[in-house]
Amino acid sequence: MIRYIVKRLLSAIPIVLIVGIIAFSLSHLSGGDPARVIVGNDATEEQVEAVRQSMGLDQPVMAQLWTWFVNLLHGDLGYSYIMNMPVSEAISSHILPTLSIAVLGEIIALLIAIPLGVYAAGRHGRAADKAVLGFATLTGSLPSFLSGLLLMILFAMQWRLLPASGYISPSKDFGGYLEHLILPSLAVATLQIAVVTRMTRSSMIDQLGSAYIRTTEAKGLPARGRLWRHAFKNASIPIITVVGQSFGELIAGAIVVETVFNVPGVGQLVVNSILRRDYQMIQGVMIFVAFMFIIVNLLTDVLYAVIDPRIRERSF
Amino acid sequence: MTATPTIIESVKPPTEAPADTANAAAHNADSPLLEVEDLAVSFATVDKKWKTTVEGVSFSVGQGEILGIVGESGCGKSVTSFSIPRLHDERTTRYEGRITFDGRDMLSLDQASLRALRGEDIGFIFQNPMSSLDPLMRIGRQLEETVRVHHKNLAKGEVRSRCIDALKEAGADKPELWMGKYPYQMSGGQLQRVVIAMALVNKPKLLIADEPTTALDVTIQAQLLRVLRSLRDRLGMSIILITHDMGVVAQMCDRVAVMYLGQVVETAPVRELFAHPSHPYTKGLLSATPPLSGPRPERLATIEGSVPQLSEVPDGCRFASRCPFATGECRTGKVAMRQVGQAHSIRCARFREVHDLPFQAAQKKHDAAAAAGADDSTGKEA
Repeated sequence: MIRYIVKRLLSAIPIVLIVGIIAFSLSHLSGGDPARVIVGNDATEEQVEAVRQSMGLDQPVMAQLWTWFVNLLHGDLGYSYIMNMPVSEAISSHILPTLSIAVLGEIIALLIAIPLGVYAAGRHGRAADKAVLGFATLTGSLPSFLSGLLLMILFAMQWRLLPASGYISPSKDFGGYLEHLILPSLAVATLQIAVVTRMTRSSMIDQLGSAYIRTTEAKGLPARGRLWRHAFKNASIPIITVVGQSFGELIAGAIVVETVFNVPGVGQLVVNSILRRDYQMIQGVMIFVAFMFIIVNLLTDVLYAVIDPRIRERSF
Repeated sequence: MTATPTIIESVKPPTEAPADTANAAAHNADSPLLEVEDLAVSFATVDKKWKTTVEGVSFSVGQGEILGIVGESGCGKSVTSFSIPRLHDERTTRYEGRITFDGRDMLSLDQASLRALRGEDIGFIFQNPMSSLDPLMRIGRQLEETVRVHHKNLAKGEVRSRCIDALKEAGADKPELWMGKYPYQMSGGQLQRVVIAMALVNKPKLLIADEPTTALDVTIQAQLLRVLRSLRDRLGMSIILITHDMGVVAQMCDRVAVMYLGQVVETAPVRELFAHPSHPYTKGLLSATPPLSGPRPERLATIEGSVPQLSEVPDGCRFASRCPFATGECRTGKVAMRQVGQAHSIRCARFREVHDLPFQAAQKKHDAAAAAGADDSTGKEA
């Protein structure tokens, strides 16, 4: 298993390289002089030149890229002159709300989508199945900022059950932290519910029609054992794939939803950095998100191997 | 036909059903274990109509008897065998007629009692062992699950030893090792032994084997057939063996039901069937099979045409369009099963005449006549 994980990690290196190059060239392609942005319009040409030198912007592009990568390998994502702090520090102070929303959103989505999908597959072609499909289409066509606003109107304004916006750190007040997370998490979960419900349903329909399920029927297994112990386990591989892939969308959704709910997460950090042309910060966040993707992909790969002995064996 | 030297050379003369009734529990030993009377199976189509795929199917299986069901692909063998433990999707299937198993009326049983019978009193062996097992679960767990679902209070060790015994019974050479393997780590022949072990682990009264060797190569075929036969000989299980292979029928069965296009067209004890095949279809099948002994003919006969689609089932006799003996009377009205000998019936409108006529001669005449464009009169000449 260790070797399998190491292999997966090694295969992530080219991805980091490519994302790194793209992030790096972004700031160089997008025109405008980063040094000028930092010192402001009133500064003299000498001051700009000084900043340029201190940032290494006067050196050839390839040399800059090299330094940047070397720093990256040391865990140094760069220094934001605009926020006047290391990029990694800025990210770490903004990441918790974003991750909380994404993870809680995913949990809510899975808790709703998987039972729904399995149930619909069991009643394939009947009214209940069609109702589930309709529900999936509905949630799938609701953008998260819209569902966020709707939830806010219903739960915060009409029924006054939950706070409308804001964020409280878990170390300060854990109950308040959860209360503030529920609505944004539900908002990011809507799209995920649609994707996972559809995948669960179709994957389960596939499995329920397969020969080994007929065997379990001929053995006299009750329906529940067939459904979960046999069919769902086999159906779970494509479900995990789709969950892993759409986790990225979930983070993107979290970034939008943060703005709606006024949560100080990575989303706000990104939006502000873009507005201020803080290229160091943008680069740093891009690389960081790429790392998150890699980790999520690694997790899904490990889950495959845990579930399917054939995958386990092939990779050793 | 797929009969090959390996099988044919090992053919033993079919034996009479042994009088072994050790397995007959509360049930009256004289009446058959399974009786299927006038079974019809219909499936719901997309536009919510019922399409009948199998009808007028009647046969019975006695204690310790091996019944063969033969016919070409698509003739309804599998549909029939799946109907006995009601394995078709209940929502889209309609059964008519009567299936009595061990004194119980199968078609009116509730789901719970059905589940209790499946895997316990009726074992089922499927056609393709490679896809019949859950790919993500060890063989051992899949076997143990079969025992545990019917015997909830059995100790762990006892469950395991029953599974190992069943694997041995099915001819596994290293049953303990097999228990820990996943299906993908085993060969097709090994997997079919596992499937057989799974079907017999609870010592069922009836074993239904749906083309158990079709997906496997010939040497393994012969071994597995020997396993099945020994189950009957030693444990007194009744077996329904579904096959398209007349060689397998001759080797294994006590009695035979020949099916064509969703109907049983002939039933007879196996010796009687091979000695006096009476239905034109059976005659055709047998003349298309290499003889078990004596010189081989240079060319085997074939039955012309192919099985029509179920949607285009003709009026009258279903075999008429391919039958060299067919006349006008064959093409109208339903044809019933009629007795032509001791425990021997056929479904043929011309059963009195056709009975003794050879198939190939009729086919030649039929072809000649067809060439002359006098299709309808051929039957009378024959």
